[in-house]
Amino acid sequence: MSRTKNLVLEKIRKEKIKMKPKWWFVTWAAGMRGGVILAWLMAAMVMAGLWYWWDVNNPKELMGLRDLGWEVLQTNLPYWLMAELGVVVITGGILYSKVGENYKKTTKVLVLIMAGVIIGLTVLMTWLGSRNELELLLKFS
Amino acid sequence: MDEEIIKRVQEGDKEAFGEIVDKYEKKLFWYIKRLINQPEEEVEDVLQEVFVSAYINILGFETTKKFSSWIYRIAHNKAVDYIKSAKNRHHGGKIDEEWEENIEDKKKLIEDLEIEKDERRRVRKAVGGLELKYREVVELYYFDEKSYEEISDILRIPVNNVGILLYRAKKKLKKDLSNE
Repeated sequence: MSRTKNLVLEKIRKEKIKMKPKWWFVTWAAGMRGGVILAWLMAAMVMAGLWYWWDVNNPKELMGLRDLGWEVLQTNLPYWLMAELGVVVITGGILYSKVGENYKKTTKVLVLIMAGVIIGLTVLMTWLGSRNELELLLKFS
Repeated sequence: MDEEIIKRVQEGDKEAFGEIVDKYEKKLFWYIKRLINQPEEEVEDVLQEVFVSAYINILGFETTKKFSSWIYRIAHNKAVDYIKSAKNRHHGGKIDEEWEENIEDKKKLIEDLEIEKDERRRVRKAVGGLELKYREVVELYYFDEKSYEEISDILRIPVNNVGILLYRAKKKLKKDLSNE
């Protein structure tokens, strides 16, 4: 018997190492998928909030007011919401690339799928959500 | 065949894991050795970690998939961890001769690089000098005789990227060999 085999089997027999239970792997996989869904839902929610902000503030019109408009725009920009969007999109992207056999997909395909789902959810949320909810989101950000 | 053994291990047959060690020990030893290029004792330590990790995580392995790709993936991770770790300071010298003996059978690599068989020392040096991402693909394709699909599963990269990396690695090798 080889040295490696001896050492490994001894550890197994003496129960110095034990198999991780099946539920651990099931929970891990479910957690990853849940994490992706949560990150994408949050990204869509934040995008809906940003869309609402754009609709209310009308930056194009503000830019027409030159310096004053620029100042107002800078003051009103929802910085936190934008940072939040970056964080959830990156987190969602990383988690999604690690789910199942997604490593077989190219980065381009992964990004396209993710963008498609997030934009779809944003449209759905903007369409279904009430102005009050979006206002609330902006307030909290 | 692998699947049957894995099922037995998963059902609690501890001794069956010895059959896995028997089957993969030599292949993984060489795979790790070529990647980390360290003395035998260091390679054995990494190899042991691979089998320990495989045993701990064996219930996470789905028997519908290829076991060899799964265990090679673990070996890849452990080897990369080793390379990154601070203990990788000294360089083993013994590998050269063994590697050269090993390359004698690898006609495909010799053919692909369009070099003479007796130039194996130079090939060894050139492969050893490749960046890890290229070296790994060359090792897996030419030495462990894995398919693109299997390499994709081991390195967790798209199949197309395997082809691209292999193409670039060969190009670099040819360039290095012609520059010497």
